[in-house]
Amino acid sequence: MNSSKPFACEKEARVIKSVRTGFWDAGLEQHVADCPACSEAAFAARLLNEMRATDEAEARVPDAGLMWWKAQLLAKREAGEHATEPIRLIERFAYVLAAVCVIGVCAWQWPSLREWLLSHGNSGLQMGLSSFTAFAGHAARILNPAIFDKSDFFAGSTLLMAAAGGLLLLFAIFAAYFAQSEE
Amino acid sequence: MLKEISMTEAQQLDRAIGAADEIFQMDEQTFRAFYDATARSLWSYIYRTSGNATLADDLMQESYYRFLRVRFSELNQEYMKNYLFRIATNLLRDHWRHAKVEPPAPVERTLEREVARSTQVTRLGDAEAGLESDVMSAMKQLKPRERELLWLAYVEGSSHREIAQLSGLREQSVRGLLFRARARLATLLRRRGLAPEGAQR
Repeated sequence: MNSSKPFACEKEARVIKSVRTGFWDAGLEQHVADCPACSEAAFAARLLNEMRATDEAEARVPDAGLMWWKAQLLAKREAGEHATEPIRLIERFAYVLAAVCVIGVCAWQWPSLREWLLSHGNSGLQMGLSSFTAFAGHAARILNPAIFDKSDFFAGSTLLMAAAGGLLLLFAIFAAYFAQSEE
Repeated sequence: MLKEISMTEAQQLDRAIGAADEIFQMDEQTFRAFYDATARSLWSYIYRTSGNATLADDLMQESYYRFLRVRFSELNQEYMKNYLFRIATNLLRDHWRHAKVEPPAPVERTLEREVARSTQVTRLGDAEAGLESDVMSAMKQLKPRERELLWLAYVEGSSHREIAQLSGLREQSVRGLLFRARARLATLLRRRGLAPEGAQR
């Protein structure tokens, strides 16, 4: 190591403190003049503290009250988001379940649905209206126990059970959530 | 993040959620006193280590927000200040980590600010403004960690142990890194014709 290179000196901490506070011990100033390490430390400390003094005078920091108010609002917003997270989760789950149910019913009743679709015209409002009427009649026939074909029901019972189970599960989740939020 | 809240949104939130008194451990009066005592030094620390005034504004607000959410066992001023600087240091590190993959932070604003400062002859003399500009330029050539260490030790007066706790380094490492950082700064300043008398011998 080069002998002219400044080494760490045990008085450096005192020197830095003196630069920061402006109070110098007797003999410390002389030591700084003689010690390369302390001289360098004092010089760096002086320059950096001058920068700090400039910032102290010029920095435009927000008012403490404004900072407090904003922090409170942000915390409340986060708390609100946290509280509504289960609702958003259930909503997403409900959409998925509804889609699954629609697909399931369509698959279950596909032969009838296909027949109904093929039995109608090609295009236009008339087709739309007649399709709707026919579909409503078809739905009423399915739902009417007097004319309900049991074989159709048992053919699709697995899907129906799955759909019903899904709906029950959804209601159970909603019930559990609301019960918890009530508490 | 705090800046993103608009006035209308804030009022709506305030009405919707209602006044929650126990969000933070600290009460408003204590916070105001603490903030007034530390805000400028924290801003200065972030600004001088990042070299970016806008970033300093943002990180300072974020630091206080995170600080307010901490549950302290005792409200010791010195401990809380160190904790605040620790949060700011971590935020700065996160920023630098992300800056590696994103475009570099704009330094133009900083340079503009420095130019504006150096023209403030009513408050600073020409020589003084030039000196500060030189020191800032030299600081920019140091590594972010070196700037942090120098600022904490030489301006905030933190001990090696405090810096070690704050930065996550070992105390011995802090000593060595700090010595090297100071030596580098002195070398850079010497190249600009600024150096202590003692060190030149």
